Amino acid sequence: MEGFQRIVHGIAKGMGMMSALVLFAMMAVTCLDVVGRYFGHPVPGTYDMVGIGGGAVLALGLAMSHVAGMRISMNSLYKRPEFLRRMVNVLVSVLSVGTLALISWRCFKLGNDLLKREVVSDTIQIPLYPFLYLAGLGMSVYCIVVLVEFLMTFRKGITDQEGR
Amino acid sequence: MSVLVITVLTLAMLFLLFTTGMSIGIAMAFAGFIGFSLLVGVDAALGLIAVDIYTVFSSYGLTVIILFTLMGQIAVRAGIARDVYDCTYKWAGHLPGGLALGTIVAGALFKAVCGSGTATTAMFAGISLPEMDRYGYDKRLSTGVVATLGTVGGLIPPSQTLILYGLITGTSLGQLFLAGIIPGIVLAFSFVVTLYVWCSINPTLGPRGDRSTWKARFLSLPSVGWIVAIFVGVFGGLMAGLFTPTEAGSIGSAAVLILSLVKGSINWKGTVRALTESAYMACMMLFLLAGATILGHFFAVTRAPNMVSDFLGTLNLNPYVVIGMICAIYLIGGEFIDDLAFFMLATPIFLPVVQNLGFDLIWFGIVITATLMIGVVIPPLAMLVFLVAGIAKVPMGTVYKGIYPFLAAMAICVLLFMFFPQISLWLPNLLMK
Amino acid sequence: SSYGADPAVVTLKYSTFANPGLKSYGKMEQYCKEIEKRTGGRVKLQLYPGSTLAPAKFTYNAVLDGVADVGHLVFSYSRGSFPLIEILDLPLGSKAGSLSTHLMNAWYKKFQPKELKELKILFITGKGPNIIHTKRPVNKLADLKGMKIRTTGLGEKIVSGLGAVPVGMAMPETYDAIQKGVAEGVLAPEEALLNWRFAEVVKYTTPLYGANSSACIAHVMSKKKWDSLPEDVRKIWDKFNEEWIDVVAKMYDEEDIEGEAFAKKKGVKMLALSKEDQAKCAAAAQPILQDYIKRMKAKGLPGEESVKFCLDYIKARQK
Ligand code: NA
Ligand code: NA
Repeated sequence: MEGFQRIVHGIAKGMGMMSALVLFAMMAVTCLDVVGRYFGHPVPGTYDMVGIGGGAVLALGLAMSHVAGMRISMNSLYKRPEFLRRMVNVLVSVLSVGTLALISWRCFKLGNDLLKREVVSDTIQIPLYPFLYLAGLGMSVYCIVVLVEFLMTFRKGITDQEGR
Repeated sequence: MSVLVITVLTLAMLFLLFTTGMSIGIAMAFAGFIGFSLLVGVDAALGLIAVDIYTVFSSYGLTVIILFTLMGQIAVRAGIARDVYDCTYKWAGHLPGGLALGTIVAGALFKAVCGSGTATTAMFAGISLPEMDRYGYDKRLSTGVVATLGTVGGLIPPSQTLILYGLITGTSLGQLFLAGIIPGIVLAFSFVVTLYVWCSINPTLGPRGDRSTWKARFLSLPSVGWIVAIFVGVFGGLMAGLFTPTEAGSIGSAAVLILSLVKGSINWKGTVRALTESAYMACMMLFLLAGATILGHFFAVTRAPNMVSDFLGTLNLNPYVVIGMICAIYLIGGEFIDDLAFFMLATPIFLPVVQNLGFDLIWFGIVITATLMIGVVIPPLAMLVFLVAGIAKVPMGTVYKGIYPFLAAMAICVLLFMFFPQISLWLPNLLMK
Repeated sequence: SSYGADPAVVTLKYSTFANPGLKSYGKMEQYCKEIEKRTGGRVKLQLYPGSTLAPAKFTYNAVLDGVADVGHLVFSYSRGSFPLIEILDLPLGSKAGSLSTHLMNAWYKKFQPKELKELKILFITGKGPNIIHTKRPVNKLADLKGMKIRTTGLGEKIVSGLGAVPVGMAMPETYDAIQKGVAEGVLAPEEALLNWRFAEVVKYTTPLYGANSSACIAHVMSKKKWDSLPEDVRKIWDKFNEEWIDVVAKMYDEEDIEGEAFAKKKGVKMLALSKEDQAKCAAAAQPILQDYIKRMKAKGLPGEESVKFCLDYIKARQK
């Protein structure tokens, strides 16, 4: 399981790096557009690219964001007794993995739909479906990261108990 | 099951999930999905989730949050934040909570540039919290200040809330912007006073330093000269109409990055770190917003504001009591979903009520926007608190403790705005009538 | 509440991006009331304004998935998806929203494109013509050269075709951007002078004649949902839609007139181009129409007929 987690985190990290790259590109394109506009030659479709780029940054960065500990949650009130804590942990993990899996599936499905209907961006007409697939992929990896994390704490909990 | 039962059960489930420590974004997405499934249908709810998530992720308007976060992170990695806070400390460190005072002033100015309260909080949470830590400021104080920063700007133009309000109500944007200026300043000033009083009563919150000599103060200036130049440049560029607030995030980031590279204060590794950190922070924030959007769409189909408005219409009350109740409804509504989303839902519904009572719509816009600013920081569902807690990695409770004094100040301000319409209306009447 | 109530009453969720406070939104409220009345209360339409139910960009999906039952669909928000009907968004030179609205509905009746087969089109509306509102005067087309005009999507080709510089930004950002000079003007109908308050920040308005375009927006349902309604309800509703086209068509003209009146009150001047420049506008629209024909040909769609139908329709009804 540890080996599998390393692989998943490796993938998340790689996607995180790409996310940074896209963010850099977004910044660069906007600057070029602003400077170019000053001389009467803006970059066509910057509006499209920045919106779509933002979506790509987020899709690519989601999983690593979780791994890097960027989480927004309240502290669990269910710390004792131990069995309640474990039950709540199982429930939360199942719901989280389920929700992320659903979102991921629907992103792929929406991507399929946009592919079928050949939807492109407003101005420079970039096909939109790859970005929905990317969102689906990002959500999937995020989902797997959460799942693996859960399985590992679950197993650790069992070994802890056996050791007791 | 009736709509009311479904609504209550779904929201109860949501709050229960919050107490389990589940990711708040995922919990909102899940609750929204379940509620929408029950009210409308599973197929519809399934259709909703991907569309909502992707719409938030690829929103041009929201990229401002990502880009200003980036600007903040570059400033941190290049040691600029450190220089700026060292300098501020030399000038204001001897005052109670001096660094926090500086942060509030800078935050209010910054909000005027970027237009987004969320982006302001995100940027300052990245920059200011570690620096105030370094000077021994209490976490409650520093996180509370940063969380309220996002609200200071709610009234200072260009305010997204005021623009939306203007379009919904058909009021003049120019008048609304003018009307927001004095209340915005009053509010920022009330925060400064609150901070000063709070830190004077409890000096351990923001420890006072020794008064620096004038020589030391002036000697600290050159180290921040060029970052000040960038800020002046970004401000100037906005005023001169070279770029939009959304674009300013990119321009500011690029300017800070280039100058840091030239100065040698950031290397390749630091640049990559700044980029990845800000991408990850943005993911955390926007996933939260996406979850809130799904929940908001569930809340829309409950048609709760309509029910309340119909009920209000049947009562025969003092006009000010009605306005007070409407404000309370915004606060309660904002508890369950994102406050701006609630604003969009509820404003058209309550507007006729306000109009029938004969109130000035510009004045109501300022009052309700100020009310909304309270909504984003009062528990339990408080976006800005969530963000700061997430970025600073401290418990929500800590941030809430830091917010209460400011909340009191905000509440007093809202009452002032409500009972002294001239605070809002004097400037637009003077200049636009 | 409306749920689980009388089974003979169908409550339909009607999603729109339009904000309350707009004249067009008031008309939508009127439409809902009228449908309810004419069906004897058997159909109730619940409006969700300001995209509070579904994002405008994904109206098509929202309607097919059942998130909304009736949707306000902007065809140009999902480009590529509706190829043939794209003609209605292109610069055809209509000078009035009413003419555009009638043209669009007539076009739909004639062409019934396959791309809309999953939808029931209740009625289509064409807003007033997109023209330019600027801070500096555009007395002749040459004045437009290098001017930064806010637009996105299909407007970009029109704006650059006329020699101006297209600037893309979010619509709510535009007011502030024009005030500060990031953009020096905006491509929009006259109603936007009032509805987006652009009259507070621009000083001149110039029509584009042959390069006038109108946003093509439809009020739609999924075929499936529509077919699930009782037959007599569908008949009543269909009949009412026919009448309604006239009502909204007039409303778009009124909306533009109100925009113009508001603008004049704010001191905005209405300019006009010379005959020569007007011809240049029409010439600038040509490559865009030709490109459309070429693209339709590649897809095996009747692009040429589509263009001809529109231009003939307008020519026959407009001086
Ligand atoms: Na809230
Ligand atoms: Na709240």
